[in-house]
Amino acid sequence: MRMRKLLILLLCLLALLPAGCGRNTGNQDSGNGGSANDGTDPSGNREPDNAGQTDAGQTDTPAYPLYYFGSFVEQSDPVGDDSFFADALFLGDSRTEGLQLWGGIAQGDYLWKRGITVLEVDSEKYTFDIDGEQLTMVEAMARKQYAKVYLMMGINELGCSVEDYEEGLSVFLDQIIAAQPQAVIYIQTLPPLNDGLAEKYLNDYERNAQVDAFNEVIVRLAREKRIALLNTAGAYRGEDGQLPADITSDGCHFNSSQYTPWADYLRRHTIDPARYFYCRELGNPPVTAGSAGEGGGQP
Amino acid sequence: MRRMTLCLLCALALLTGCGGGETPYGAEDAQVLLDEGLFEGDMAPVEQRLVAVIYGIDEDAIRECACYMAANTASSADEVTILVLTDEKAAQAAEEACRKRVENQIRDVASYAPGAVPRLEAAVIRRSGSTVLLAVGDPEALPEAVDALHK
Repeated sequence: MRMRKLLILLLCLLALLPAGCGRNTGNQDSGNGGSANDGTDPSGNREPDNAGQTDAGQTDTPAYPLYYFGSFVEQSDPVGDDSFFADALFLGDSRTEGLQLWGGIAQGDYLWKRGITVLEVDSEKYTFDIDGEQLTMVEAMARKQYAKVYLMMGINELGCSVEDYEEGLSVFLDQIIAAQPQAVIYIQTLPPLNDGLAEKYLNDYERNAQVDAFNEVIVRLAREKRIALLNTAGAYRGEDGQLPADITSDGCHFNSSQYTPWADYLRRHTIDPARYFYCRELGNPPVTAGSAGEGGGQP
Repeated sequence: MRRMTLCLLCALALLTGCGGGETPYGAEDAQVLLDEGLFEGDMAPVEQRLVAVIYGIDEDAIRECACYMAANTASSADEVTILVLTDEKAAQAAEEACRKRVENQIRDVASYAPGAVPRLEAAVIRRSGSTVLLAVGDPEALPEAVDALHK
C-alpha cells in the first residue's frame, strides 16, 4: 500500500516537471503569433517578436532605413499639398523673406530679418513684434512648438571667419534643438552666388569660395547635431557652379519668380519624423562608400 | 443773392479741391504708380494673404488689395500697397499698420541697406474713406504722383 502511494506520488511528480520548466509552444503552434495582448503566453514567457521589433540591439534589422546625418535627405514623393507646412517654421534672412513672399508655400510661420546673422539671433538689433512684445529671433522661435523647422542663414556672415560662423551656427542650432524637441530640424546649404555680378554689386568677401566653405560647416554641423541636411544649394547651382546670372539682379538675391524652385525642392525632400528621431537615438553610424544618401553630403 | 451763390460755389469748389482724399483708392492705382517708373528694380506682386501677415492686418478686414514689393530686398525697400478695407474703422487700423510698417522697415534696413532709408522716410501714406495707400519710392516725385491719382 505504502509502495503504491509512493509510486503514484512519483508519477504525479514526473507529470508536473515538464510543464513547469519547459517553454510552452502551444500558442505558437496555434499560429496566432502571440495569444495574449501583451505578447506573453499564459506562463509568462515572452513570445518571440517579429524582426525589427525587439529591443534595441537585439535585432539585425533596423526599424527604419538608416539616415546618415551629414548626408542630404533623399528625394521623396512631393508632399500632397502645402498643408504639410502648416506646422513648419522657416528661419532666415532676406532670402527667406523672398521664399515667403514669392515661393508659393502658403502655410507655415516665418521669422526672417534682412541682414540678420547667426551671431545676432539673440540680439535686440533684430526683433519681431509679436503680440506687442519685441522678441529676438531666439525668443520668437521658442514661443510655439513646430513639427518642422527649416533654417537657412549664412549669406550675411560671409564677411566673418569660417570659425566664427561655425561657432555662431552651432550655438543657434543647439538653441533650436532645445526649444523645438519635437521638430525635425532641416538645415539648408547656401545657394551659390554669381561671382560676376557679385563683383559688381556685392562686397569683396561675398564670393562663392566663402559660400563653399560655409556649406562645409553646414554639412559638418548637420552630422554633429544629428539634424536633417537639405541640398537647397543644388536647386540653384548651374553647370558652372554659379547662380545663373539670368535669375538674379545682384548675384545673390533671386528674381521674384525664382523662389519657386526652392519651394519645390522643400516639397520633394522630406524625412519621416519617426525615422528621423529613430536615427537620432541611434547616433551616427560610420559612413561608408555608398551608405550616405543623395550626394553624400558634399556641398 | 448772386454773392451768396458765388460764395456757395466757391465753398463747393474748395471742398472738392481738398477732397482728393474723399475719392477712394483702387487696386488699379498701384499699376498707375508703377507705370510712372517711381520704384527701383523688379517690383513683384505680393498676395493679399501675405500682406495681411506682414502688415499685421486682419485679413478678413481686407476687401481688395494690390501690393508690389522690390524683389531685391538687399538694396531696396520700395513698395506700393493699396488696401480696400471693409469700413473706415478698418481703414484707420490699416493706416496705423502702414505707419508701423514703415517705422519697422527704417529700423531694419538702417544698417543693411542704408540707401533705402531716405525713401522710407519720405513714404507716402494716405487714407481715403475705407481705402489706404502706402508707397515707398522716388521721394521727390512720389507725393505729387499720388496726389495726381484722383485729380
